[in-house]
Amino acid sequence: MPCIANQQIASVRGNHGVGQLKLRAVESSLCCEAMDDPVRYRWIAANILPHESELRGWLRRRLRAIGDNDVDDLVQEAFARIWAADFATIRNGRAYLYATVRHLLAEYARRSRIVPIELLGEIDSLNLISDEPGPERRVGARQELDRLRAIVAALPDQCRRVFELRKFDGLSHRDVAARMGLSEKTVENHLTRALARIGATLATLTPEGESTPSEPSARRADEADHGND
Amino acid sequence: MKRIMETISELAARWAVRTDGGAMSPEEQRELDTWLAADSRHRGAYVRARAQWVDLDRLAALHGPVGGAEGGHPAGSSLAPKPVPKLTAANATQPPTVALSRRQLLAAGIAAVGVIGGGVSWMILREGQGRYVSGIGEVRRIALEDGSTLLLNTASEVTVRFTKKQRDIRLVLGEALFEVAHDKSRPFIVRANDTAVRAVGTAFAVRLEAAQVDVTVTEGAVEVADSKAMSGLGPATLAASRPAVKRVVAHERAVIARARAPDVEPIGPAEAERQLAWREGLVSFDGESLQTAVAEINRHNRRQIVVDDPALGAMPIVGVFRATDLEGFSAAAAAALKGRAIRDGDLIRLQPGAVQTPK
Repeated sequence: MPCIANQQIASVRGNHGVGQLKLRAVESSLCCEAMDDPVRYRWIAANILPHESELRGWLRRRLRAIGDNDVDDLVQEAFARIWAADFATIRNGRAYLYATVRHLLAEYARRSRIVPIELLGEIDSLNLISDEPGPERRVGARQELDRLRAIVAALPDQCRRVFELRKFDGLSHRDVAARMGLSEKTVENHLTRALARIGATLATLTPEGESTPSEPSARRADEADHGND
Repeated sequence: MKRIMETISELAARWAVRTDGGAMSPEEQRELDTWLAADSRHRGAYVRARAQWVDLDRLAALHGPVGGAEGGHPAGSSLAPKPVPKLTAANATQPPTVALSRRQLLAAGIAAVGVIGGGVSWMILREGQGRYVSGIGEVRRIALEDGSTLLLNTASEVTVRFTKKQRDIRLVLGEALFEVAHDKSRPFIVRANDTAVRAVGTAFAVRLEAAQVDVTVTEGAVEVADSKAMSGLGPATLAASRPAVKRVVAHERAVIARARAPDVEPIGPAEAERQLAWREGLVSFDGESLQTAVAEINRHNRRQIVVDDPALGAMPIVGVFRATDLEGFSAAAAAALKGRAIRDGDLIRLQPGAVQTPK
């Protein structure tokens, strides 16, 4: 289980492993008047989230020039774009996610002026894989839920109980606080910790369910990739 | 709220939780707006965190007693499962957060995940000819003489006719999943309305609806064509010779509307599995409208749910339910959508809860 506190704030780091990679140079004018549409969140939960860990694994493996913080930046940028998209017209969430990332990489490459040839080649291969399921097959919905359950079960006791009362029993923050004898602020802290931990764990999980992509699994996926040609 | 050590993802999680807690003060709202406007990565991380928060509802829907028999984490005593409340107009109109906790509402449907066998009747027959029918709420497995199996979903009917040259199945009603034993000399062909599906050693489901036929492939590949185009074919591959034939491979779905060419789209393994949740006596929803979900639940039950309000019917539903648990589903839907479930003879009516006063 990766510890969130060990992650660094991306913007604090001056160097991104490869000097030219500055994803945050990709400016976005999309704004945020009301980011409160529940239907949109459900759509993203159902159609985009399931593909995130596969995307991250792919980026880490194929775009070796990109560090973990760049992967985070890229994924966050992609979610911001997708939020602003007209999702009623999107038929395939996975293909759309990959297409969005490809655009982001192309924009970044254009702006940085120094265009690493290797990266452009990788962008083209992103294009190729966007249409069909990748070699790393997604785990089934049931396994995915089991994984979520395991993450919740591994939360520190009080944090887990707060989370369960809110999410499974549907108590309000105030009611959870009253039931547990905690302040609402503490309830909020526990819930934040639970959500952040779940998000961080899902981001680093490989489709096989390991918590970090190890070399053997990366190699296996590469072989499968080539076998697909 | 600002701590230097928090990453963007953590800050986003904090704001997502803060939003979940109810109305924010004007200052907090301004602070959030400022934070969101400052950087597109903030917006993306916030969208991701809120979507994940929503996504965890699926876990709630599946959740049995916390850390129960199977888990290594004993639950706090306050979390012991409680009896499922009877679904009545009286308690259905109380505020959901008090009277109808999610755990309570879902306990029945959820417990079913562990003991599904009870709700589903399995019959093993070994036949080469005949007509097989499943009742409402029944899922029935039939082993065929060639080693193939077919699984009938609720209220479905097939006829089977095997000859030396061909294995012919007709889906007369409903939906069936086929796991086809490989036999090159005898093509395995499923017909539904005017559509024919030819298996190429594989597993696939065919669903017959009023206006269309859906074919979902979970393994291998099938060829889909107009029934007439498929007749009189030899073992040779159709796709090469006739343009009207479409090939559908694993984790794709073909939708064939009357008199139209099949529309094939990739759906991915997880979605394919979700669509076949009925194999285990479950139905699974992942953002479908309440109206769609109710129609699916109703297929499995004699008693029916009616959604009285179009706006309510358009709300998205997430969760896994036992297909025959009409009351569990309606109570959960009512609670999740802040509506009411009211029993009316053999019907359960789902109504918006906020504006109307109970009669």
